[in-house]
Amino acid sequence: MMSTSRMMTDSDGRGGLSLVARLRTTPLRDLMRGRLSAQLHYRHLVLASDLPPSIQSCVVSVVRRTRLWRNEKVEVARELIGHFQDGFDAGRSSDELASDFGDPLTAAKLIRRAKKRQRPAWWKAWRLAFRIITAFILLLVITYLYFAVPYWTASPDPKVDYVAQFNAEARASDPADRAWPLYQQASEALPDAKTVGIIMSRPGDENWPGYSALLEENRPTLDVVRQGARKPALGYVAVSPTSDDILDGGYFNVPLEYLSVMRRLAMLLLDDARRLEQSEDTGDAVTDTLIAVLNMAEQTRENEVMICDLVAGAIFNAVIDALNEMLADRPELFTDEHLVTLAHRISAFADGDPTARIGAERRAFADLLQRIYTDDGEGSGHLTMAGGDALISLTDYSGFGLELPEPIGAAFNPFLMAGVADRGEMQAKFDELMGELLSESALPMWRRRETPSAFRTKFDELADSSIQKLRYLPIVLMMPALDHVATANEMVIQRRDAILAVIALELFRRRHGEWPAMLDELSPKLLPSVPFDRYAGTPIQYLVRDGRPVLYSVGSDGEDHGGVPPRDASGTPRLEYARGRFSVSLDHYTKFGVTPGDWILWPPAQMPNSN
Amino acid sequence: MNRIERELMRGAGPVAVLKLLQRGEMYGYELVEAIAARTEGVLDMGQSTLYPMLYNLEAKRLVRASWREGETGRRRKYYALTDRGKKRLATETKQWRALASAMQKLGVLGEGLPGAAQLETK
Repeated sequence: MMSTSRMMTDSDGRGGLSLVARLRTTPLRDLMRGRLSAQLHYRHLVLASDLPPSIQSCVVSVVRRTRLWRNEKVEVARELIGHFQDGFDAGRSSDELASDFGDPLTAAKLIRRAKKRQRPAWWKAWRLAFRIITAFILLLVITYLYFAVPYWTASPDPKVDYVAQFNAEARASDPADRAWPLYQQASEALPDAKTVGIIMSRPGDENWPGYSALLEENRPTLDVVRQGARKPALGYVAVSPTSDDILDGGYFNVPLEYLSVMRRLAMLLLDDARRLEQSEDTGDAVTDTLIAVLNMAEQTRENEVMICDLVAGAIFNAVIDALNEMLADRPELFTDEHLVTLAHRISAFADGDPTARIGAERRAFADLLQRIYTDDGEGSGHLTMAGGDALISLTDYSGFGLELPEPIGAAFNPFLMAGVADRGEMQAKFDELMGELLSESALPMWRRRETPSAFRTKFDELADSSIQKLRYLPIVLMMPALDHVATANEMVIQRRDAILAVIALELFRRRHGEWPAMLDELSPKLLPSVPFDRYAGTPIQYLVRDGRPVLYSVGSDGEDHGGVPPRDASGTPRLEYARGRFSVSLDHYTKFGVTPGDWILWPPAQMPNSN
Repeated sequence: MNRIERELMRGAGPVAVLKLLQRGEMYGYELVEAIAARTEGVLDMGQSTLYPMLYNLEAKRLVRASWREGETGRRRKYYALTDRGKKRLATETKQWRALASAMQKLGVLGEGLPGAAQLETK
């Protein structure tokens, strides 16, 4: 049936077509002849025919339902009009013709399908392209929703409170045994770090008198630090901030502001030890102070966190540096008892293993995963939106930012984060890499250097591939330099072994009036065994030059240069290399124009104002 | 005879139309009447089916359509067989004869039918 709205649009109010409708539906050739024939208006054609209203209605219904182009509708309408007119001419009735014609809906559908097959090739090509593009877009949308809906709607469910584990030992300690309150008190009482930092120096520097006076002036406060160092526990309880950031409140972001305090106080105490070494007649106060700082380093390691161990190691190294300087400057200040006490304390530091516990990172990683992934109860889960946002924000800190401007980021992140491995796979890959790293770390440096690092090879494979880097993003963010920690651990061991050998040499000299010809002579009475050169795997290098012993390692180039430090192009000794603070490769030497040399462990090289 | 099943009509209908057009061009209603008369109503397809069929044949270029004035002065759309349509008709005819022969051998068509001998020889 003709639609009322259409009638009103086209009608001139008297049931005929309006002028506009006639203009729209008149072929051009008729227009040019001045005739408004409306030949392209199929309804007009049907209504203008002499068919009965019921048949007209049938024809209009069929043609309308075909939803064909205008000219196609006109052609179909004309043909159907002719068909029914022929039928009437043959003496058939309206009912018979309508019955024989069949279902108008079916007819319209079949006519539409058939007429579309007659359309030109360009239309068919366009329709095919449209369908392909539509299908592709639909596929994209479905795929996007497949990733986006779980991503948007999921939330993590952390099960393990690693911060509570971190705080467990501190909370278990008797408050009276906790050093941290004393350190806080001392830190607040001391001049601010900037003021002290400006004038920090070493004996012999021009700032030393003023700095020394400042230390003397703050002696009561430094004694509070010493008091804290005598406590059996640090007792630092981390209080995590609460915020919308999913990483806040977790082990990954556990606040460790005590590390900077410990380091600052330890360095000040060591400088006070230097002051005492310059001013005292006996080594009692100096020895007590050195041991106090060792205790502080021990307290810093109270929590099994790698970064805490690294700071403790830095403090430990600083004690060794200070003792090296003092033994070079005034060895007579220390009695044999002092030296033996220091040797035992240094040897016993961290139960004999002063290295940073790399394996402790497992907890940080496990906490990170439980905060960014869901938990399916079977060891796996998928990344959440909050987790993806957290990872993306972490990439900013790592220098390969993935953050996209909003709102593009919000829309694109589900796709981007779909490339990240699920929780189970991520954990498995981490365990694999950590296993490699720990196996390698258990080997001494000289053994590790024999073969390429499997950890480094595997890690670089991840980091060098854009797809793999995204897939294992948390690992790439957390593990890039862990093998460097393993190398740093070797340096700590080397320095410890060297100072124990230096103490043994001094004790030997006192007893025999001369330096030993070989280090073997120190063992076993003064030294359990001759320490290894961690680079060479052979006994540490020893010679006597100008009446003084020289202890050295062949260093990173593995060549024995006869106890000569690296030198730059002008021939100046590059003391920082000589002290072994850097683990340098031959490429590194070449890059800075430095002649390779040995890592001189003793005697110490004085570094100007290196604090 | 009852009208045949739709699936059989799908194959038979277009062949019937092509065969009728072999004699000369015809218009839609004329085709409807001819099919009904010559097949005694067996291939009596609904007229809502005929025109789509003709449009399909036209799309496949098996028939050619043109508007002309008929004897009564009324404009009609006449359909004629194209060369391609003739070739298709020949092919379909061969296939239908082979089918009928096979059915006869199976006993479906029975013996002694008119033209049975021709089926055997062609």
